[in-house]
Amino acid sequence: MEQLSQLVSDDGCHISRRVFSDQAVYDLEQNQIFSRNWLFLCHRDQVSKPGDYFCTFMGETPVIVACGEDGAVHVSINSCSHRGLPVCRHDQGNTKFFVCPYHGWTYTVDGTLAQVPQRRALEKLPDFTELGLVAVPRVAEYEGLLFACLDPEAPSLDDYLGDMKFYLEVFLQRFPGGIELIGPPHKWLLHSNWKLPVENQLGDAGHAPFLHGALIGGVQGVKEVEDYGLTTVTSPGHGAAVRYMPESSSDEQRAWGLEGVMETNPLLQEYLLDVQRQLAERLSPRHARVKPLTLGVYPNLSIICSNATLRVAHPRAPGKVELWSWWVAPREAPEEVRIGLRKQYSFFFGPGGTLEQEDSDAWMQQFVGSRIEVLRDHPYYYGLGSGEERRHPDLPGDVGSCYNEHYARGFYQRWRADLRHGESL
Amino acid sequence: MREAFTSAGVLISGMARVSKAVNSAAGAVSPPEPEPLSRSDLERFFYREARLLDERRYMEWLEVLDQAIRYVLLNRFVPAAQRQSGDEDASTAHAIAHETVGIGGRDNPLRDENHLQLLLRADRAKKSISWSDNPPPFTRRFVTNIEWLGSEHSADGNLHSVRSNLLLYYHRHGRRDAYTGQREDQLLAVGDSLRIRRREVLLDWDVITGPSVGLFF
Ligand code: FES
Ligand SMILES: [Fe+2]
Repeated sequence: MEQLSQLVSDDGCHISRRVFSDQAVYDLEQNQIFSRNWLFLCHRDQVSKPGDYFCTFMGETPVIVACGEDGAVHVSINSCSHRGLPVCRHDQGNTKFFVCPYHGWTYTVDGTLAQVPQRRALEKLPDFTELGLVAVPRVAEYEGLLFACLDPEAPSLDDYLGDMKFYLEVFLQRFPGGIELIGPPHKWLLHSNWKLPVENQLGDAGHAPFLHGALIGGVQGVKEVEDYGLTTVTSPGHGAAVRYMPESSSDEQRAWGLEGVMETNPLLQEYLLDVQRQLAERLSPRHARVKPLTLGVYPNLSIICSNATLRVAHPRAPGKVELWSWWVAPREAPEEVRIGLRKQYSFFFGPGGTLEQEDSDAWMQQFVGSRIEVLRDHPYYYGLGSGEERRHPDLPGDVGSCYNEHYARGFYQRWRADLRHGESL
Repeated sequence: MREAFTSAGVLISGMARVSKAVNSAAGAVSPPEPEPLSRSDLERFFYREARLLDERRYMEWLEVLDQAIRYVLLNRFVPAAQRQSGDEDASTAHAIAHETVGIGGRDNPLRDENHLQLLLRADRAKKSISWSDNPPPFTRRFVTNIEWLGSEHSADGNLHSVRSNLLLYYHRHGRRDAYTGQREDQLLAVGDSLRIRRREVLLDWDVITGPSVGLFF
């Protein structure tokens, strides 16, 4: 492994192509990024009753998120203590036990070893308490979103999210009845490095009028982003791209989604407007002025607020990432409103989305560029707006203009610091 | 999760039968039972449709669609087997319906689109700055296993329910991908021609590995 400072410059303005393509970097990430940070799993709704389970990944580690008989959420690594097979082979469901296919060892949903069928012909049994599925030590919930962390020493989830909570509230608390994640999630494999989609959704407003020019060229919303758009970075490497609307702006101008409601759906517009009217009172006048575009929670959770979707990027290889996305619906909205919002998601984003089609194409091509060996000493330039970010009177974090690339510099500086923990140089 | 999928065609033909029975019971003069579509009619229709798409004649393809089209791509996942006690039959415990997610207000199909959205896709694809279609992919569509499931009268004409398999070969940027799936269509007979009133596509993936399912299937 070469010096980390050659991968990411001190100021974050130069990022080596190898950050995206090198197998050794990727392997280090598994230990230093995905084993140390809080990672999003799923919504609490998905494991609300005893026996409910949902299978997902923490980095490349397969885990089972389950609601135990005690009603608490348990996260265990999906690999049998006997010879390693996954004990659960379904995406989600409800069960009392997981039975390993190979020799029939049986575990309760919370990962406790309950039965070893070979006992019938044995005199002594091993200690079951030492042979449960390996439990993920930290599990916590924020606004219904479940997170886990493999590092017992990590700070609390609350501290980890820190100032980012302000921006998350704007989205997660926007609707009076709260939100729900509609699944099973859409899942698709992208031939790119996991950080490329993540980085984009931390705040890359600079690509939208160009890469997506065929769809949104000349749209009024683009000017609004240039007029009121801000990128913000909160510790440790989270990012939010928002429009902070002027104090004098109307509810119509602020209402989330209005700029993107593609069909005349008066019911949907009225609903969103109604929600907006209550926002200053329900949350705060500051929350009510924030019109969020994208939110990114380090390392791999992204929320596209303007299109009602939340996604997680699971790394698979330097050049492979599996994206999982949910449609985010207001829990109490009438059916017609919900379906209107669903179109905002699936027409634009997710595996069949039009904007996603263009983004995916760019991310795949970026990976191709990142593998050009003779350019290994020609890093990418991430310096747009460097040094122009500053504190904001109303908003937490460092705040820059809509095209300031500090959202990415913040991410990669944190990423470098994480890798340095495991750096033996 | 979703009961109606495998039986949708059966339902339609069943409905046609029921309404006929009701009409004759009331002594009303019922309209003649719609003629089944012949295999060659259906082949001609689907082959031409596939060719329009492979030749990137998207605006012409739109003319094959009914204005009121509902175009759906279903979401599919890997559920736990749903065994009733004593039921070991794979066709029920592992029914495809358990793997597919519906289209109601608490479901998340991959796509659920109308004519306007399909028009926007077609219109976008022809622009030079539409970067995912410039340069365009090389595609080849193969339609097989065509089954006419039944038909019913509707206010706009006879509505035929037809199932087919699709294999879509896709090549771009040096990559080769193949999409396979089943389509369940409702085809509206208007004069001599057919229009797609509804298309429901079920792709054979839980994790999608093709570059996008934003294509025309
Ligand atoms: S590997 Fe699981 S029981 Fe042997
Ligand atoms: Fe984009």
